[in-house]
Amino acid sequence: MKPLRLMESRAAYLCLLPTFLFVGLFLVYPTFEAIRISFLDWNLRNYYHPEFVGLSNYREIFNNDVFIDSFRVLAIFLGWQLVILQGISVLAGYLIYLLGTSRFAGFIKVAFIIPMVIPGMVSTLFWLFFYEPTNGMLNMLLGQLGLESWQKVWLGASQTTAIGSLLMKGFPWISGIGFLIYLAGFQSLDESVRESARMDGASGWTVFWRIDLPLILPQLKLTTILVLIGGIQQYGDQYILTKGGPGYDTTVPGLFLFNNAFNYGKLGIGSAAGVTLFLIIALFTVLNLRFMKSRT
Amino acid sequence: MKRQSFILLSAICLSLTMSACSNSANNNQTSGVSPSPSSAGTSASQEGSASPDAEPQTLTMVYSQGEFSWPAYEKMAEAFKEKTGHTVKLQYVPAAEFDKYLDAQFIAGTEADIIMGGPSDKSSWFKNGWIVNLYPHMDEASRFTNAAWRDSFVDGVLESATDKTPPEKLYGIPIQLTTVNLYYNKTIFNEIGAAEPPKTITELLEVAKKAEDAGYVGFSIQNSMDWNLGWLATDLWGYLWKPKLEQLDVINQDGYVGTDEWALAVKKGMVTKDSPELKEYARVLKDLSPYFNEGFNTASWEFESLFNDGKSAMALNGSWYPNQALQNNLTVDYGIAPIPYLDKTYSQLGGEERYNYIMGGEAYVAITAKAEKDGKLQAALDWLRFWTDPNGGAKMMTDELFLIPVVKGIQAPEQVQPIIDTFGTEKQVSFNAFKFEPEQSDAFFKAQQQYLDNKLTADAFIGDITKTLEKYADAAIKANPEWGVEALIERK
Repeated sequence: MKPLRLMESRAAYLCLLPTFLFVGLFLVYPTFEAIRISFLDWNLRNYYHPEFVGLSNYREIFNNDVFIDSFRVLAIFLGWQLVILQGISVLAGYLIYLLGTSRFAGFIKVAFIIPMVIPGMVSTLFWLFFYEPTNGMLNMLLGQLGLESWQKVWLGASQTTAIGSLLMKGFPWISGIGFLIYLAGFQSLDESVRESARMDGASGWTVFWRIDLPLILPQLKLTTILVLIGGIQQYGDQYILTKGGPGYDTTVPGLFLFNNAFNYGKLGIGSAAGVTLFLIIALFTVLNLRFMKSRT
Repeated sequence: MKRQSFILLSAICLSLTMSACSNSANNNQTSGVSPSPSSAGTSASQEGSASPDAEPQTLTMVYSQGEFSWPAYEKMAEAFKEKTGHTVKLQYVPAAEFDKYLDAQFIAGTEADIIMGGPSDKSSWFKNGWIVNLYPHMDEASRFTNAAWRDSFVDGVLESATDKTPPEKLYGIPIQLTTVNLYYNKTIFNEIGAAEPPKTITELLEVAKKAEDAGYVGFSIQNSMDWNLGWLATDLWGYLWKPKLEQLDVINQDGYVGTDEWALAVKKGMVTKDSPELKEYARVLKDLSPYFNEGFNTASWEFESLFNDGKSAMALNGSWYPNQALQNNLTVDYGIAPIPYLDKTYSQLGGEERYNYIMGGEAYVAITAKAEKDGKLQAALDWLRFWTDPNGGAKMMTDELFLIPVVKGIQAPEQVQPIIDTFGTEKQVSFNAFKFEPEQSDAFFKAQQQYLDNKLTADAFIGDITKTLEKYADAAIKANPEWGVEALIERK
């Protein structure tokens, strides 16, 4: 029996080998390569002769006001995504769960899921047209309602307006994988626990806060990590809607990285920013896991 | 049997992986090696003229010109195939992503044979061995004109596209004379009692105010990207720095101020936060800003639609606009005039009259070193020569797209004649002290946005953009030792 099991394991390892090779080639190698590049002065002018500059790129980004300020902007977006967006997704998932298996519940689920199949780029462009100052839907609507004084250059009037407009993008913020994860989490709960609590006189709020929510902690942990990872790396909306402006008012670290690597051709600086973000994400993920573990 | 199947499956997977990796490695090997900068041009000339391609070739050309130009390009490629047997495959890439796309393609070694567009300064492409120097081919006979290729061009066109740092290089050929002009709405002008388009900044401010008072946008513009308002800026800088031309044009002494000369000027302390030229520039923009369309700092093409819809009295646009207006059946009754110049009435640094500039072109269409390596240089040269053949491509471009021709012997369409009438013999002083690095240009642009948004004072704006000037100038001087700027600084 033993030799046969060994052979089967070998075959399994061999079958997994290509996957490991691809993961190594396309995920692990670029990560180490980015770390190496972060120590080089490498741009289009010296593309074939990059120069080793030690920690100079790191010194440069940490002395760069745009990079430092971009974390303040990121904190706003991240806070919003972690608290408001997650909160609304949990709430929506819970309310739909309470609807049970009725036909209406099915309709609501489909209605929330359909927007997920629209490519993110398309919806972002829609919001660009929505906010457009001259012919945009929002200002036109305000004009029709006689609220001309409320009309604004939504993506450029001030930092507050621009960030506010970016945060409002995606209203009512329910679409997303988080909503599905929470819904699945609630649906997998043991009904008997809730029923016992009800029989003991617990209110709806108490059941939600004391029983249902703690029971979906694994899902909360997962989505928090996913939002943290995606949130810290974000730059797509800022790039398309405001280009990080007005000025640098909506520039996030991801956009700083993108601009340096791909617009300014400074691959060393871009990689240093990328490695910094990687370390921050790793730190947050570890802290989050520890925190959630202690809560569990 | 089960064991054998597992082993067989594993072997197939492994071999597929290996073959994928080895293909990738081969591709990298082919693309990664590039000729040294010095050899890129010379080898091109030798091989190109010595071994013309007898066999029909398939060339690839990448471009970013808008949709309106596509049918004309296709038509030209068909005509070229009829004459030479060579096929040209055209690939469009949106302008906003074009430069990034090109860099990625060059680095990956998958660039097209011919590139139309890209940065106006292609010296770094040449230094990396990515494109060929076309000068050695200019004296060769064109198969279409049976005369030296050089002879086809209007005087001065090639000179304006030349990198004069010895040895002189031509990174590409200009294919049109592009200018930017003031487009004004004649109907609005009649309504507000403006008899003529404004010739000066003083007049521009007066007319724009009248238009605003009548409920129109005085001057529609965009400043979310560094063109459009940048066009006005280019004209303003030309006037602001003209009085100092002799002090600036000290390296090449050709009537222009090159990037090397701007680096030297920065090192000599000629561009500082106290420079009156910068202060006047900030003043003009601020005075004009009340007449710009709302949201100009974030708007993009709205400036044009405002003008097309008859809501704006004036806008800046390129020499391509008449063709677009015709093709899109625009009903706006527009007139064309030169950009209003910075006049003495408005500013001590202004000029007495409009300078009529020599119209040049930039190194617009380039041939890649890859095309040369692949044995397609002669076909690529033929394509460029066809493009500039007065009886071939150049005529088609003029007829179809209203492009102002760069070659002799073509009658320009009457719609662009008012633009051609503004051409003269003056040399325009360009201001490149904020363009040593893309990052620096971006910082300048962002600071200008903040200034026009009233978030920065004029002093803070100028302070912001000048505080890093020396750093960028030093980096540019270090990266371009061939400029010889360091020696000039030491001599001083």
